[in-house]
Amino acid sequence: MSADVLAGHTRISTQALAATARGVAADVFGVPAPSVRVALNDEYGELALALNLPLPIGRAGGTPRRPLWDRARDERTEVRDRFIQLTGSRVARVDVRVTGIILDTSRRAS
Amino acid sequence: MTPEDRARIEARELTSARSGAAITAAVVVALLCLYLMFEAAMKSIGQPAWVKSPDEWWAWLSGLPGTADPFLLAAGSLAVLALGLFLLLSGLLPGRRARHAMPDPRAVVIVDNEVIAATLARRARLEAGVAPEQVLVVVSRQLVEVQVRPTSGIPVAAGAVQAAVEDELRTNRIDPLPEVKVRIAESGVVGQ
Repeated sequence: MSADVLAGHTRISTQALAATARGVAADVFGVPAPSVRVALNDEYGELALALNLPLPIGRAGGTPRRPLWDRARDERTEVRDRFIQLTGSRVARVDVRVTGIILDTSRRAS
Repeated sequence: MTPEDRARIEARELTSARSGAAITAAVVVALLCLYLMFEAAMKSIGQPAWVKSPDEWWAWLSGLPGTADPFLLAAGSLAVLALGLFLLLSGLLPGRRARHAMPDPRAVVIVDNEVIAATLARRARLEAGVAPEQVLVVVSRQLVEVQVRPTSGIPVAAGAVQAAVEDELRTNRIDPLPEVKVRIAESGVVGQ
């Protein structure tokens, strides 16, 4: 820290990191935050996020969504970028484990 | 206080005393000599020897492995060897204590290495921005070893930590100035 930075010490607790990851993942994958379980680990000095979450699927007759596998795989980048933007921590890997599905009920009304 | 006085006082504080070993050795040798003199006196005035006469001691010593119990003999030899090694090393090794001197115009200032290590650890952790338990500093006479475990996702610059620790050493005018080695651990700690 150089001299022109105000003296002091900033820390982000593990709970805060986990809650941030949960919120970001819930937002990106479009699932309720309490259904996301997050584990944080160390990966050679960088962070490793492990997400356990259900994914929403469209009902038959609705607009077809992309396959579960592709969504789980591709949106990890988005999770990582937003997590880095929020916390400033480096993230080396994001593991996603799909633990279930959520039937997308928002299409029913239309 | 002349410079010689200062050097003497600093040396007394920075190295451990040898008086204990010297006194023990002197007492043992003195007792042995007193006993031998006593036996010699008994012989010279024609009295019977107290334990053995000097001649009998010489005979016993020269025929030593002889009839003596081998285990007793081995134990005695080891004890004598240990005592000899202790006295020899006390005489040869510098016997430095884990302390450093700090120059001061009016007084002799001596600091324990633990105190220096605590100061350096505080500076290093403020520089690295990590929690106190993520920094370990070991101070010896010539070397300061700083080990930092970074927080996961937040890299620590080893160069900055090294510069800060060296600056802290210079600020405290530690004499002699030790070399600084910073090691950043490969794995980090999640959160703080």
